[in-house]
Formats: sequence, structure tokens, C-alpha cells
Amino acid sequence: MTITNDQNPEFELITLLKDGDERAYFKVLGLYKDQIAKTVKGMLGDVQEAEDVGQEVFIRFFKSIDNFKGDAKISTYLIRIAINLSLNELARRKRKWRIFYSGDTIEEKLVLDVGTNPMEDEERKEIVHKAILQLGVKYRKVVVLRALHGYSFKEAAEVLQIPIGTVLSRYARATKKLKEILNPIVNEKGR
Amino acid sequence: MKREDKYYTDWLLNKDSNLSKEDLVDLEVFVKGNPQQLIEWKAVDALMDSLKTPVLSFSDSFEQDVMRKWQGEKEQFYDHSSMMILYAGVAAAVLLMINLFVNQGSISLDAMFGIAGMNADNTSLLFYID
Repeated sequence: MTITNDQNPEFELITLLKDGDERAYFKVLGLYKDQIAKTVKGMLGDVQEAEDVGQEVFIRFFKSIDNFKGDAKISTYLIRIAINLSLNELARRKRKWRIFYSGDTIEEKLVLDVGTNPMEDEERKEIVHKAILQLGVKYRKVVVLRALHGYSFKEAAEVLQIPIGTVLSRYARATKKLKEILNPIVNEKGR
Repeated sequence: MKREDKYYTDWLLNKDSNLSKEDLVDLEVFVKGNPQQLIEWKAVDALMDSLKTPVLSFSDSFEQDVMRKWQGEKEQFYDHSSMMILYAGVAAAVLLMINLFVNQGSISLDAMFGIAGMNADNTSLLFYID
């Protein structure tokens, strides 16, 4: 399928990218870097590797721009790449940790330091982000898309290329698990 | 009879205005009978909603870093082409050298320089090469 100006509002940008216009590259970076940061850091945590993976996402996109047919939005395409590269990074991390640990639990365990004092918003968010990192990757993906990106369940299903029912059930399970982890905060917020 | 989990996914779906009328009526009945459940759902939802404001971002130099890396990748692509030319040149040199050895009937250091068997009668470097 080839794209035309009428069908795709991103047509002009894609054309400029294909022509190698440097300004278009910067435009893409400016438009989508925050979305990719949310995806990658939501999946991997706020670590240096996330920055490297984020860079790789854009490099992959630029490399494949000639094959980009415009049948999905640029953001959708980039988020798909971001999720795949994040999964690769998680697998790499897992392999690396296996060398040192023979146990089954490899994921970093969260130590929640939630006292009775009301927490600041930023602190609260940071704790929730850490809790998200404890979820299995298939749950983490839907939480990142829904909670961090604000995608509808239908949009999340499109990005992940899975049925909407699966997205819903994974999200419901994820929130249940998060609720268990974050119970003190949830109770506080509910009051 | 729907399970509580199903009502929860229906409630989530309804937030996207994506629930059928039948299921919506069903959900409203459930919620009326279970107000505490709705409070719990809302609490979790409020917590998840708070994550939408951007707190996760890349470093200030992110764009420059990507472009630098991208330029590096492009140069590598061109380097690849020059390496192909280099390999072709090396392969041609090796073939010529073999030809030189065959013509001189010797595989020696002298033969490599084209001077195998060079003497007073034969002083031309190109003597063996027709």
C-alpha cells in the first residue's frame, strides 16, 4: 500500500524523511521523544539503558523509513519498535543476571517505603513506576500504553496487535497486582 | 451471572465509551448493589491516571545523541561500500601474485617481487610476465 497526502496527514513528514531532510529527522525526534521515553522507561525503568534503547528506536525507524508504507501512524510504529527493543533489553538483562543468580526471581524487588505521611505527587508516581516494573512484561505493556500514554483500550490493542478483550483482561490483572503492591497508597488516595 | 472481574473490565471499557447498552445497564445494576467496589475501582483508576502527566523523559542531549549516532550509522554504510572496493582490490592483487608465482615456477620471496632466478642474462623485473 502506498500513502497519499489525503490518506495520511503525516505524508509530508514521511516524504521529507525519505528525502533525507535533516530538519524532518529533528522534527520526528521533537514530536515523539516524550512518547518513546514513556514507553521505554515505563518498560525498563529510569535507567541509562533506557536512554540507549530510546536512541536505538529512532535509529531503527530512520533506517527503515524507505520501507515505511504509512499504514500505521508514526507514533504507533515507533511505540511498537520501542516495545520490541525494550523486550530485547529485558531478555538481555535476564540473561546477564542468570550468570550471577540461579534463583527463579530475577526481577528487581521493590521495597516500598510508604509511611503514614502523605507523599508528594512525584514521589508517589516514582513508587508506582517502580511497582509497574514488577509486573510481567505482557501486563507491563498494556499498563504503559494505557496509564502512561493514555491510549484507549482499542488503541492499545492496535499498537500491540492483540484483541481488545486480551488488553482489558491483562490491564485488569495488572491493576489488581498493582493494587496489592501499592495498597497503602491506594487507601490513602481513596479517602 | 457475570463475575466481578468482568464487571471491572466492562467499567474500564465504559470509560472509553465503548460498552454496549446492554452491558452498561448490567454494570449500573452491579455498581448500585456494590458501591464499595466502585470506590475501589475509582481509587486505582485515579492512581493510574496520575501517571499520565509526563515525568519520564530523556536527557536534554537526546536529540543530538540520536543524530550523532545516525550520522555514524550512515557513514558506516558508506564505509561498507569502500570496504567492498578494498576487498576486490586485495583479491585482484592475490590473483596477480599467483600468476606471478606460476610464471616464475617458484613460490618464494624472490618470486613475490618478480625476481626469482634473476641473473646477468635476465635483469628485467617483467621478464617472466608476458
